Amino acid sequence: MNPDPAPASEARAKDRSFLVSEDIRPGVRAGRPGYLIRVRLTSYRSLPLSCIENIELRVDGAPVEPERLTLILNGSGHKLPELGRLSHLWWWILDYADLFVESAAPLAPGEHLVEGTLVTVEPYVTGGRFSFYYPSQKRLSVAQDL
Amino acid sequence: MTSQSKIKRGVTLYSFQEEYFLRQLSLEQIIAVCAQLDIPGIEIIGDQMIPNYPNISDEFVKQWHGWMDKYGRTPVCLDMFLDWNKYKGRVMTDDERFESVVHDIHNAHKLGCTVIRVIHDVEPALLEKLAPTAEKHNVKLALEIHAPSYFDSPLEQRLVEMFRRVQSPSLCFTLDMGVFTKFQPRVASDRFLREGMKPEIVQYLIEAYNTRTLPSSHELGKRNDALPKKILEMGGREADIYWAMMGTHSVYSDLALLRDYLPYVKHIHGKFWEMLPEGREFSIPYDEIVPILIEGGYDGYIDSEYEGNRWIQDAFTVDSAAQVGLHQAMLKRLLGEA
Repeated sequence: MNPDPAPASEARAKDRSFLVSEDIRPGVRAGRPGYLIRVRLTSYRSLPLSCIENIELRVDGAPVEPERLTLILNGSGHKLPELGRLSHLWWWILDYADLFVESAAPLAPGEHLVEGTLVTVEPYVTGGRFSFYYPSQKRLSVAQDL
Repeated sequence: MTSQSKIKRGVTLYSFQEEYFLRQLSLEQIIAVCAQLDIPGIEIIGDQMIPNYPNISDEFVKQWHGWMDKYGRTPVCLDMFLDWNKYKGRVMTDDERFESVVHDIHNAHKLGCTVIRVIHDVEPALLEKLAPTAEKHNVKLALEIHAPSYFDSPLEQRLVEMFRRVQSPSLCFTLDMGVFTKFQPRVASDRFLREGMKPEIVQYLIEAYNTRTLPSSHELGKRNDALPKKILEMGGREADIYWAMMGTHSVYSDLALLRDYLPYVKHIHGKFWEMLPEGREFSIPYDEIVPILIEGGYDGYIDSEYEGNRWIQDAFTVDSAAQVGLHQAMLKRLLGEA
């Protein structure tokens, strides 16, 4: 199932998309450099992290390897393979999260094409554990140093 | 129209999801809007607007009742989900399902809600087992009948059989008015066009829905292969299949059955897609439905449920309060309040 082909509707649908229109920020996590991209849940209801099936990211057309990604929610970081076990942690729909992308080289100043897809499970669907894909695409700038 | 109806008006805060999600309205501000619109009853989805649901903090409970007092509103219904597939690799056990709904019952009681909207597909045996807990907390477990299901669907028939046998005041239905979608919602067909669907396919979908000739298998549990095939035959794209499946899955059910089964209905979702300025819903004939509810002695709430927001938000600024206000004005007229 491909819930949001939506090419014609980028103008406003972006307001509820996975990628938030905020600058990319440099960051360091566990001693490793990288950058942070702000994201949010696309569902109309909160979900336990065990229902986040996957997060796919491309920056300037290049896919980011999943092992370089950490989802940071309410101050705690989770690698993608850990999410399936976190049925007790809820992502509330008003909470922003950050996607930390480990990267030895900093992103060049200026705009970058970021494509992010959130893959979720709607846990109340009884027919099975179906994946729902929420793709979004934005041109995001790298934050200037403070 | 006499004013003898005992039907009460409410709104599910789901209706305001766009403004809430975009942080244009907080929960308190939405409740204030309900007061301005003169809507007495309040329904809330825990997983949508209550932080850390299902673990509601005492602070939230206090704040909630404070808002109800401040704005003079009545809590009516808590909408629950039963998250069978919450755990990766396995479904919930029977005990976990039981505990999950018990938690919802306690939450409803704390919030002062006397109805829980139970998500479709919950087994009759589980509801029967929960009845004593629900009765103890003065909460009705009202399983939602939602398109494409109706009273004559298999699960509903098994539930009615159980309701008759158990005779618990806590076991009943929520009825979603979307089961009476007589005409294809325009908000959906307009969206099809914005998504690039060929106008002749859109026109076909509208006419086929309205004449009940859509090749859709509304048989539950069966894949609807006929509609995708038809769309591809007409030169449609894969994306068109998605939009068509999403936007034409309502039903227009037999109103005669509503008379027969009304005693089992204790809560109603006043689903609407698009209120027209003259006070009529584009697709759902409320002027035919509400008199049946009045004649049948229905005395629960009709909670306005605005569903059009998600169809127009790609291109238009959503004004949920205006749409809910028109729906409530229509209800007042039909209930003899106006």
